[in-house]
Amino acid sequence: MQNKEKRLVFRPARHEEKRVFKSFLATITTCKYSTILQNRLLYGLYGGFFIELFAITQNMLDLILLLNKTDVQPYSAGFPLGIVKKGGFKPSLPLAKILFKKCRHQTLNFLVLDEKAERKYLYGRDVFVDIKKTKQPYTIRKQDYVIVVNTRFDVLGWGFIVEKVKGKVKLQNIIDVGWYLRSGG
Amino acid sequence: MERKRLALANITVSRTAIRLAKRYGYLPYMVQRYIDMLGVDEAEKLLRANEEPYLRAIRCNDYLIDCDKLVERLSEKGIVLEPIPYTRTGFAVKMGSDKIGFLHEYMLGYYYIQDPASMLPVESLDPRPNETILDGAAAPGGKATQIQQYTKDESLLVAVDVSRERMRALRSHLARMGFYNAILIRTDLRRLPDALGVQLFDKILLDAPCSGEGIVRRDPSRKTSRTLDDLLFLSDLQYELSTASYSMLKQGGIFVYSTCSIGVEENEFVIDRLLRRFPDLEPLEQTIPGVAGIDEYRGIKFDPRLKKCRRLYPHIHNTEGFFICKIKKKD
Repeated sequence: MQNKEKRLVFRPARHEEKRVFKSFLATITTCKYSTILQNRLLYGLYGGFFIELFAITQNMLDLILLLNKTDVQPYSAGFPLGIVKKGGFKPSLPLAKILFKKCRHQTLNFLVLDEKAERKYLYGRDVFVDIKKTKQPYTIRKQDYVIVVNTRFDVLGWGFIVEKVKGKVKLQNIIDVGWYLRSGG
Repeated sequence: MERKRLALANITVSRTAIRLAKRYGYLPYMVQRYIDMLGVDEAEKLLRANEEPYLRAIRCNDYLIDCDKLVERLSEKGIVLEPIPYTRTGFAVKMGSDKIGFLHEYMLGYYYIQDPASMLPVESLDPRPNETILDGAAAPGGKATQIQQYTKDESLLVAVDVSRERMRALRSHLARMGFYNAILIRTDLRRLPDALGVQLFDKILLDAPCSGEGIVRRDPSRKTSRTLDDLLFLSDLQYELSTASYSMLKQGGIFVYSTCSIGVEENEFVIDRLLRRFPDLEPLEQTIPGVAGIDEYRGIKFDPRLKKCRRLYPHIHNTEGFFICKIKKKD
């Protein structure tokens, strides 16, 4: 039997996906969407097992509208923000990079890893971080999503603070740039 | 055209070709073609050069990091880099090449592993900010990321490829290196002109699928993996992809055709057909390294303007074998 592919369609993000994305942003930073992505439009790739959100330019939209009239669809377009699945949001690596670039000097959750923790984290593993040893510009709380950076402030990925006990935190690896090697192709 | 095609398909293999093929492990028809192209002495130099280890090189992504800083960071890890003079941000890896694909700096998108010859099609394309550019066979993304790097991600790139697996790699490389002003489309390029219906692009790069005869150093299986029929099949495919590219290119636009093959069938023969079909196409001079394209081969005369195309050879340029042609669609 021939394997029939699902037809994915690019269309403006619905209210629900916008809400999920903006709620996630609000937990990370006080930066507004307009500061991060200027006047890019929020679009979604619908029809798969999850909805992937992208920020696209007007130029891209013109081309996508041409393609929407045919059976040729974009595989991706513009800035990938993350995916919405079952009401939750999983942020993309590019989103971590742009947030760190544009919002670092406003309120932004980020955690600095020393060299040893960095090595372990980039293998896709969870790490314990002694936050007294590494200078942390931001007060880390349990249950926070954080952007993970190294001491040179290279953005390494996303994490989630599972535990915080006596100056140590357990960081759950959500996604790290090692993914580009392990799974990116 | 059919006469030329028949001449390409009809090869008599000499004893010398059989002897050299046996010595270096090639199919005899391939060696005969090298002899017809270059003469016996130079063909043997090519075969000998293909036995040398290939030069590992990277392209520093100066969109994300200052290249001096990258050189310094990698030298702390035992990697020695040397600039490649004819590229903007290319470096030969002189020491430590075995770990170049696994470093944190690679994951962070600070460089792309790429042969120097493979950096030249984009040098020739000379992409500029605000242009709409098509990369017609874009995966895995070496040239697509280079286009966006040179325009500081300010051109709109439409990157097309037919393979699902390779598309994944393309997307990953673009994201890794920080480029988002792109639309990725997984389709056969030949379907795109009907879908778009307009001449949309200022510039088009077609690094066409090919036999890979130029990358024997990197992949010795190419010495025996393609028959002459395969080459002629690829030649037709390359011509069709070029024709599709032509129909989406704006008047006054630039088309760069390249392959990592040194076969005349996949290069001059394709461009010769294209120039005959579309009289408004004009090959342009290029400032990249390389020797002139071939305008006569085994008694077949091609369009003399093909001399403006560039060929790179392992035995002359110490790169992969490559072919690059820059063509303007007249206003």
